This record gives sequence, C-alpha cells and structure tokens, in this order.
Amino acid sequence: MQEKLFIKSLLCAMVCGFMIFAVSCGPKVVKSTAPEEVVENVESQDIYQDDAAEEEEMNRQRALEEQLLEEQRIAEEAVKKEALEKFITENVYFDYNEFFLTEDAQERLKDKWMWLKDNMDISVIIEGHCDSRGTTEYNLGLGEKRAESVRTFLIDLGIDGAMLTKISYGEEKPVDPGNTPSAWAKNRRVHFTIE
Amino acid sequence: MNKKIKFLLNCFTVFFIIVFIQVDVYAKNNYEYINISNPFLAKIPIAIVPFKDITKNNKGDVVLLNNGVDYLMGMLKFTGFFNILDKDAFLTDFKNTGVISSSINFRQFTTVGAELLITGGEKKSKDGKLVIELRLFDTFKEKMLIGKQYEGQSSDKERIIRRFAGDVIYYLTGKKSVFETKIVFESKISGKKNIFICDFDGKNSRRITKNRSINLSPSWSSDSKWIAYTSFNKGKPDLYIRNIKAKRGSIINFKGANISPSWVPGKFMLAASLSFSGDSDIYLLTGTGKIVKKLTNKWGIDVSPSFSPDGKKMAFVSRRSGTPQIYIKNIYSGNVRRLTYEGRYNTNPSWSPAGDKIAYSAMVKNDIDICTIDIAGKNRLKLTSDTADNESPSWSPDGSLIVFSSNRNGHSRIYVMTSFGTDQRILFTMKGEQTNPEWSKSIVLD
Repeated sequence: MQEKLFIKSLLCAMVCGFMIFAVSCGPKVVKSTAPEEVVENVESQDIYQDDAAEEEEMNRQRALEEQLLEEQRIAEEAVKKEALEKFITENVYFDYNEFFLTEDAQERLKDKWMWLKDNMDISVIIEGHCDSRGTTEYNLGLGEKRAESVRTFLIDLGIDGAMLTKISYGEEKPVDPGNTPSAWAKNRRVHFTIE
Repeated sequence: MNKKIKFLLNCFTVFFIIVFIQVDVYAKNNYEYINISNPFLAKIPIAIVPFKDITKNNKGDVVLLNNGVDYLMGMLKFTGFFNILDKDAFLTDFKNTGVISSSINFRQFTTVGAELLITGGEKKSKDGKLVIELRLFDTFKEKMLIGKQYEGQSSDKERIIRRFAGDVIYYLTGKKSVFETKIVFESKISGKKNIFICDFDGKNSRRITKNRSINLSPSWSSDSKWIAYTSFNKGKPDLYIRNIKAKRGSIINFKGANISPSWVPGKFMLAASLSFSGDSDIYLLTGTGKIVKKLTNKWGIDVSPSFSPDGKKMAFVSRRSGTPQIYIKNIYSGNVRRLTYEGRYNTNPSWSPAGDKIAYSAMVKNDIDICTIDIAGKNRLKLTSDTADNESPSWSPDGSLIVFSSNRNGHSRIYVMTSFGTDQRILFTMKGEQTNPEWSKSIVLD
C-alpha cells in the first residue's frame, strides 16, 4: 500500500520535473535568436536557415511537451482508474447479524467518501449483503439496514443523498458460496457499484 | 374456450359418484379413531387388500394386476396416522378375501393386529366406463365405515382413489385431507432463483416464475388462487401478486425493498414489509397494492408477518429488542407483545391452522431448528435437532404436518414431518437448492 503511494508520488514528481525543464528550456531558444532578427538581411540564407532551425526546435519542443502531457494524462487516467477499481472492489464488512459500522468499516468508508467527493457527477448503488446463516426474509431486511448505515454515514460526511441508491440482496448473492466462518465473513458486506 | 367446456363436462360426467352405503359419515362422527392434536398418537394398523376384479360378482375372485393399492398406501402412509401392514402378514389366503363384508374373514385381520381394512373392486360398466368400489371397515366391530362406488374414465383412476383416501381421512380425523393441496417453494440453480409449485407429496413440480433473476419468499392466499412473492426481475426487490390459473396480477414496487408477503385469511389482502420510508415496516395492503394501513412502527427490521386463522392477530419478526425475535400484534387493539425469549435468533413464524401454536426457526447453538410454541409463549417444543439448519416451517391445512427446508444432507431440500416432529423425511429431490416452502391453505385447483 505505502509502496504504491511512493511510486505514485515519484511518478508525479518526475512528470512535474519534466514540465519545469520544458518550460525553462523554451524561452532560452527564443532569446538567443532574438538579436539576430534585427541584423540586416544580407545573410538572408542564414537567417532563413536559423528560422527553419528555430521552427524545427519549436516543433520538437511542442511534440515533447505534448508527449509529456499525454504521459501525464495517461498516468492520471491510471490513477483514476485504479481509484475507481478500488472504490468498486473494496467491500465494507460487518459483524455477524449486525449493521453498525465497525472502526475498520468507517476507515474504508472515509476512502469511499474521498473518492465520491471528487466524482460528484456519478450515481452509486450501495448493495447490502448477508451471509447464508439465518432466514431469507430477515436477511433481506438486514442487508437493507447495512446499506442504510453506509448511506447515512456518507451523507453525514457531506455526500449528496441523491447520488446514493441502496438495495438489499440479503443472502442471495454470496461472493463465497462456502459454508465456513471465513466464507460467511466475506459475504457480510456492502458492495458499491456505479450506475 | 372449447378446452374449458370440455374440462367442465369432464368434471360433471367423470365423477358420477354413487354413495350406496353411508354408514356413520353424517350420523355420528366423534373421530374416536384419530385425534391429530394428540402428541402421543399411536399409528393405527391398517390392512389394504389388493383390488379385485368384480365383473362377475362382488366377492372378487381375480386380483387386478395394475391396481391402485400402492398409490392409496402411499397417500395414507404420508399422513403419518397409519401403520400399513405388510401384505404378506395377512394375505396367506387373500384370494378368499372379497370386497364386501360377507366375503371377508375379519379374524384373519384382527389376529395380525389390523384395526382397519380397505378393500377395493373394479369393473367396466355397460357403456365402457370404469367403476370402482372402495370400502373402509372396522375389523374388530366387523362393520363397514365407508362404502363408495365411483364411475369415470379409466384415466380417472388416481383421482378416484385420491378422493376415497380423502374420505377415509375425513372420516377418521374430522379434517379435510392434504391430498388435494400443494406446496410452493423456491429453487436456486447457479445464482438464479425461481418459484415452483408441487403436489402435497412433492410430485408434479412445475415452475411458476420464468425469468433469469431472483424470485423468493412465495406465499399462498387462503383460497389458494393467488400467490405473492418478491422478485428482483426489474433490478430491485418488488412484490408480485399473481393468479396461478389466469395470467393476471399486479406488481407492488414502492421505492426501496418490497418483501416478505403474507396473506390475510379470507381476504384479498396481504401484509408485507416495505422500506420506502427509509425504515422497514410491515404494512397492510390490498391485493392490488394499495396501502390500507401501517401495522408496525418501530425503527429497525420488521419482517415475516403471519396471521392467526381468524385474521385478528399477526405474528412477525422484529429486531426492536436488539436481536430478531417473534412478536404478536393484535390488529384491532394495536397491542404488541413479545412471544419468544429463549435464544438470540428466532424467525420465520407460521401460525398453526388451529390457531393455538406458532412454528418458527430458532438458532440453537450453531444450528437452526424448527420449534413450536403456544401463543401464550409457553411449551416451547424443539422438533428438529442435530441436523444442521432447518428453516421456514409451514403447516399443512389440517395442522397435522409441517413442511420445512433442511440442509442436513448438504444441499438444502424440502422436508416434511408431523407437527410433533416425528416421521421426518425428504419430500423430493431436484437440482439446485430448495428453500422457503409454504403449504397451500386449502385445496388447489389447477
């Protein structure tokens, strides 16, 4: 986790470095050619040659900059995509037959909140799930309460409730169909999907 | 249309029943034979003689090869009331046992312990119809208790025998038999869950919902014409009200969850748990989905209503005390009282047809078991034990049996037992996992 963050910040630093380099290089070229422009056009050939070189340099710089920008854009996309993936794949877990948010669940929900406030244009479905222990109808009710706990928590942190729809699947959609304590723990969850 | 007329004609012509001797059926019937509310009920030993050809005479010399005895035995055995005697025990000379009193040596049956005896005879009428005569005798009193003659098409044989078996049960217990009832349940195969209906004995199951979604918790109306269930077919849990014969019904799709339907006895009304207000509460609804009134009003989970037979009280599951427990609400006074105190997980209430008990699922140690309890909250009786999870009990309409689901052998299957927990057996096997059975509250015509 921390390693990932380190790589990410290194990447950002490198991108920024390149940009500063590119910006600081640009004007230097212009400056060096400026005085020559005032010189008579006797050696027009040379001037033209210099102009062409300058043009070429400018193009090179522009291409370089575009490439850097593109790289930056791709890097940003990757970060965004990763954040979205994390938002969707990381579930919030619950204790047996409970719908209150544990400390761990609250920490995870703060990450969700961070993502949500950067993506206010998105509609999110909060799915409440239960383990296979207990009865179908009660578990549908319990899943609904789990989704409600999560929704309320996010609204309290300032997320617009209109973005957040809840649905309960009860025990109908287990991630692990096993009948073991570890399978049950995995199935007692709230899962996020993007509408 | 043609089909309908044909069906109606069939109904009239096929069952031309002549009740030729009507001993005791209406005159006096104190059901001294079987009292189904007795937990120490001993099974009545009964002998059933293979049906005979009575074309020549009523004595019946020839045993029919393809006779309905096994079908009749299967039904009677299913009830749990009888100990069906092995043919070999009394049939040393069965050819001499006729179908009528005068041709029966009753001592042959009493010596092997049979208290009841059924004989059957078959012949063809002049116009080619099937004529069946069936009789029930008390072997000690040497007296016929029921005697009936039926006339119909040869394809009606099973229906005729089923009707007679129903008469036998009615005579002996004073209650309508379960032989014309059905069971609705859900079955899950690779993530898709659908609703099915089968006969009382698990035969002839057919699929009711035909989508690739999740359909669950089915419930019969008291006239057995409608079922209500929850379906995710449109993305979220909505209630579907459906006429099982005609293709009509309605969808109840308030915002949020619309779950756990249960019909009000004798009315086209049901209770269900709705969460459109943000909290799940039980509401009374018309069969077309209009809200009549709110029945529970506590924060938390309120689900799984089940009405008393008179419709005046409703049992339901609530988490208002912190754990899921069963409560009873008086619909008119509004009073609510807690029924279950033992254990931390009591769900799935099902009110008995007699109105005196509630069956439910209780978490005991690490298993879930079926229990019954008086409506006063006393005499808790655990009917299953050490058999993994046993859930969703539902009473047969006569109150003598309970259908439930169990994963005692790995997969979840539908099981039946007597209402005292004896004679536990699997009803049928099919692919996938079967859960949430509910017994129809009356005869199902389809």
